[in-house]
Amino acid sequence: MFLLSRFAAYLQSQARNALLDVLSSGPIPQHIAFVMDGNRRYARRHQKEIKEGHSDGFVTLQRMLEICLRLGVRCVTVFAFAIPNFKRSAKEVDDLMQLAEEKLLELCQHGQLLDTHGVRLNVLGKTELLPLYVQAAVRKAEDLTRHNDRAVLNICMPYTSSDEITTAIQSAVQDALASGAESYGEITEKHIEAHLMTSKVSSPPLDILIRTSGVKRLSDYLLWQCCEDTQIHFTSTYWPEFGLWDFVPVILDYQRKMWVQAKA
Amino acid sequence: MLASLCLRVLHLFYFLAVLLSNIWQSFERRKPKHLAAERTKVPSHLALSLVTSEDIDAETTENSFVECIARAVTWCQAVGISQLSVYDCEGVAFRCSQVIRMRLIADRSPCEQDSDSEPEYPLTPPLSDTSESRPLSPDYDIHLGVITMRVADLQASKLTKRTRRRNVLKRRIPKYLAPDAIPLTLHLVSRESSKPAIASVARSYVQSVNHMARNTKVGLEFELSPEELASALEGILTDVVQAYIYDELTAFHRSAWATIAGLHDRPSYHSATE
Repeated sequence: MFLLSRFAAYLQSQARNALLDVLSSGPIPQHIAFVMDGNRRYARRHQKEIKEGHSDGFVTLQRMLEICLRLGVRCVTVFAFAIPNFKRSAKEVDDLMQLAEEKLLELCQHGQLLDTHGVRLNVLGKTELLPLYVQAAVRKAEDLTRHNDRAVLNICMPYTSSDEITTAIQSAVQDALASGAESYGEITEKHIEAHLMTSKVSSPPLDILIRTSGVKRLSDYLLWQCCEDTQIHFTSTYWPEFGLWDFVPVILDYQRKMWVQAKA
Repeated sequence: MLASLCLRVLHLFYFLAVLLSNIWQSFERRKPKHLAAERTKVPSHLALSLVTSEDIDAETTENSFVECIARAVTWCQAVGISQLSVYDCEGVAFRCSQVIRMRLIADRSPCEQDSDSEPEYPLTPPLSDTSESRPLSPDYDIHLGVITMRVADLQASKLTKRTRRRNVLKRRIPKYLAPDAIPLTLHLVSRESSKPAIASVARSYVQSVNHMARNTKVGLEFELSPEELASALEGILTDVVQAYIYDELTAFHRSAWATIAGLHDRPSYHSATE
């Protein structure tokens, strides 16, 4: 029985890889963003603790990251924690911070996913709001993966797009002031874009944004990056249950769009 | 090669699956309620994104946009939506804002109900430079690339003599628009209202800080909060900059007076700028 289940798992894995190889023969997005929404509702539906919901969500993150890397996606950005989420219950925030510290270090260990695929990890957001032990884990994880150059994983926490845009404008204005008194005419949208957190870590333009759990809102996430040429998908699946079969139609839609644009 | 062939087959199956799903959903789709029906939830602000097509000429596009926006305004008022934003990337709605304004006035003129004469558009002031931030009339405002019209305030400024003409399309006020329809604010936005407007606000900040630095000869640091940026983009830039300037100037003068008081052995002077 055990052998049978192992064999079934092997076949499933081979079929998955074959499907990904077929997909990767067509146009593949360079940058995909996920809003990992629905962990708590998933936990409540399955009579689990909220903490377990978030933990299962991390497993899904690993699974989706592996799928994206196998497809050839160069950059994945995930929305892990919003600045307003600090207003949640102290217990949930503490659980999330502990999970963040544990999983950040786990992700970057030798032999793990980021190491085997050459992925550089960046944590984007107002990191000074994180507890000191999480900030230390962030620094360590970023240092361990700094020299990886095959792909990028951006974890946004704690993050809001309005904070990112405000910080970018502040930096652009400070640069203009420092460079000369009459340089205000030089600030363009390109200058502001260059100061965005995603730009500073050399992320390519955002091709696809996916939000799970059925909520059809952007919730102050990557607003500057996704407002022009990004394919936006809202799916009703909760994040911990999101998988290949939810993801394949998104890629197929992207490929159809790219073929149509190529013909035009 | 084999992978590409398999991909095409996969896309064919996906296309058929989506087609069947759409056909099924068309049977399952519920008929929408009438506009005047009671609803438990109504949005306070609706945004409409209109898309142009290269296959359609500019005049037809503009006429279609005007018609579409006029209908959307009427429907929003009927349902109880108080704000409507209409966006198109190329700024078509923005460019024909005066036509839209006149159409909204004509639709709401009570004199049109019983007459089948062609509505005469009242004289309007020339469109001012869109880079300025001042109202053209009480119902019309331009700021940071956004044209705002308050539909409740729309009124004909001057009516010319109407003459009867034949074969003119009669325009009536829709039956479902009650005489006491809620006031609605219409915003016309384009790409210029987005990232370029944010860049414009950033340039204003640099200009203000440079101006302050020249006048006070004191180096000023610049800090910005998301709330201040949001206020600036909503049209309160002047207040934000003024408050910033006042705070810095107050701190500078207090410091200067304290130094002078110390040199001349006099009590510190606190009220010079209060």
